[in-house]
Amino acid sequence: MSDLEAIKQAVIKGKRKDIAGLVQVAIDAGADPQEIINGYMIEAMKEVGARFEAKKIFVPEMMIAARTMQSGVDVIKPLIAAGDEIKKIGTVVMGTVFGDLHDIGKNLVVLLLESSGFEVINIGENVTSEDFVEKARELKADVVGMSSLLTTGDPHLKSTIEAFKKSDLNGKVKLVCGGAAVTKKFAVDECGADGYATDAVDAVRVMKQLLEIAA
Amino acid sequence: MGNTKHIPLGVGFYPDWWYKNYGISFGREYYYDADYRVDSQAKMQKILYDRFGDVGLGNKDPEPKPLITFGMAMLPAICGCEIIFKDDALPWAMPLNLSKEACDKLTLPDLITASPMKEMLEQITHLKSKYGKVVGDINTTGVQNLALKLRGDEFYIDMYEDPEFCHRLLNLCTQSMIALWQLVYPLTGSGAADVTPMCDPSIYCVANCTVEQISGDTYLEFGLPYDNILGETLQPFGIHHCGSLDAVAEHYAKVKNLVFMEAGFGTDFARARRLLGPHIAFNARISPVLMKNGSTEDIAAAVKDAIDQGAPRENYSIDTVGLTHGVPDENVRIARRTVEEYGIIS
Ligand code: B12
Repeated sequence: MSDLEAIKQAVIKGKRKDIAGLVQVAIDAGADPQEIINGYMIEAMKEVGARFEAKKIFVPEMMIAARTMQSGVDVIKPLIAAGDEIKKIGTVVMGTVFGDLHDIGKNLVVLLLESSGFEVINIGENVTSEDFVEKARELKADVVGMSSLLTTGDPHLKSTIEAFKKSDLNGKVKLVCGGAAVTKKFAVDECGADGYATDAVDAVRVMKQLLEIAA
Repeated sequence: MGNTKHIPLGVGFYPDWWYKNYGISFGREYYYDADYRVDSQAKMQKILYDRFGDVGLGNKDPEPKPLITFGMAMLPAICGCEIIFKDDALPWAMPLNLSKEACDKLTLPDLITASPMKEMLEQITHLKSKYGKVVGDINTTGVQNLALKLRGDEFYIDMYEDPEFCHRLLNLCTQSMIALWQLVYPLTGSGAADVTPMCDPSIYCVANCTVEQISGDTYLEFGLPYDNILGETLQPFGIHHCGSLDAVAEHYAKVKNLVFMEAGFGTDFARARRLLGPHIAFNARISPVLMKNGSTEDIAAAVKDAIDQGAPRENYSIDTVGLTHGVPDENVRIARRTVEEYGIIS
């Protein structure tokens, strides 16, 4: 296995303790730091996402893989020349709607978005519609992700989308919903969200599509 | 239809349904004031009768029900989690996100003196003197549920990087749950009511809500050993599993003294029932999301499907809980009528 392939496998298998050493070996051998991230680590996370989507792996496996990638990125960051920082493909503000404290699903979406190159700001759970709008404005979000696991969240999802439509951000921010309580019919057709995704992999796909970023 | 036996179908409304429709609050008072709770319970039974008496729900003249409950929050609260009470929601324990060192310093709590169990014991004394009995129990929550409340999501990373730590914490959680059950069960004779109404209350039922998030292998390593300790110590034993059972059903079949299994929506009920065997009472849950958003045809189809998957029909039940404000009444009616007509036990 090549040094770079070993990095990919370490991310997939969640070998967080090995990753720094493996990245160092690859760099010492002359590998391009950007290429390690884009060509191997992000590819690894794509595979992890696909396994999660297929229910071959579960929450802990996905979390450890994302952590492993993060540890690898931490080694690479200082090596990337100023002005040549790791390119972010978009800014996403993610939260769980008011009244709902479920967080694991949202946090997984955050992890996968981050490892796919998005800048993600996780604004937590129990988020009011005002806070969603305010944070999106303050952080200049391209996309706002709303997670809802409880059907009690339906009116809050709706009012948050309405708040965006009434605000100066209308049309400027893409609104994407997900979580077990949400259906595409409700979020997109009834409330007017821009997108809906069934899981973390789908979330990356949908957000990239909305921002017209190649898959 | 009256005397024909059919598969039972339970219905449970979420606090926001009660609060938004009838102003019945599930705030702090509901859990700390026994008289308020008994009074609310009677009102709720009467309301159900008035609204859904035609499909057999509720009670026209309810007897006072001297009930105890603390949501799923008792042990987390005793361990120091902040509990958020709301008029229109179930109580929620905020995770402590303790360091591994802090977790390792935790010891078995003294339940009799620890708040809010101390207050709950006072409520029990009060209810017993007023009504001569107490019903219900205190949900012990599940082993992994409790570990996650103490350590936070980091616990999932620990599973990879420090499994011995995980086992120490899971063991402490298990022992705390046993201690809670051993304190409450002799007082009420009930060990499942606070988890699910579909389980025979005389057995002990554990709430394995977060097991939905892990694989079968992870359950084998970090779940099964502890469920077996519970099953051996507090037998007969039941498990409530919140989401899809598919990843763990074959391993649940190995749990000692298991007599009851509840499976969330998304489960392949037929497969799970086959793996577990017909001797294990099985409750299949219909999605509250479908109940809110589906048409009556969708609901009837989901109930029929659950019935078809459940064979044999003995020892099998269906329920739909967590029904929130906005669930159409007709969806509740059609669910109940479908089991009456289609779920006959021959
Ligand atoms: C685990 C769980 C819990 C855990 C939560 C742990 C945590 N920290 O999040 C615990 C036990 C603490 C819990 C508590 C409660 N829960 Co709960 N819970 C679940 C369960 C079983 C699984 C959720 C989960 O973690 N799935 C795994 C993750 C990975 O999947 P996910 O969350 O669906 O997320 C994925 C996708 O949906 C999507 N996604 C998620 N968010 C977003 C956002 C965007 C923008 C996008 C694009 C995609 C996306 O991508 C994610 C990753 O692939 C569900 C059942 C279910 N089938 O969903 C019930 C469920 C959601 N819970 C329910 C209930 C009722 C509760 C409680 C009220 C129960 C109680 N007794 O206290 C409380 C909630 C209190 C509150 N105010 O929030 C009900 C909701 C019923 C309803 N009417 O809506 C459910 C449906 C179970 C049931 N009864 O049928 N719960």
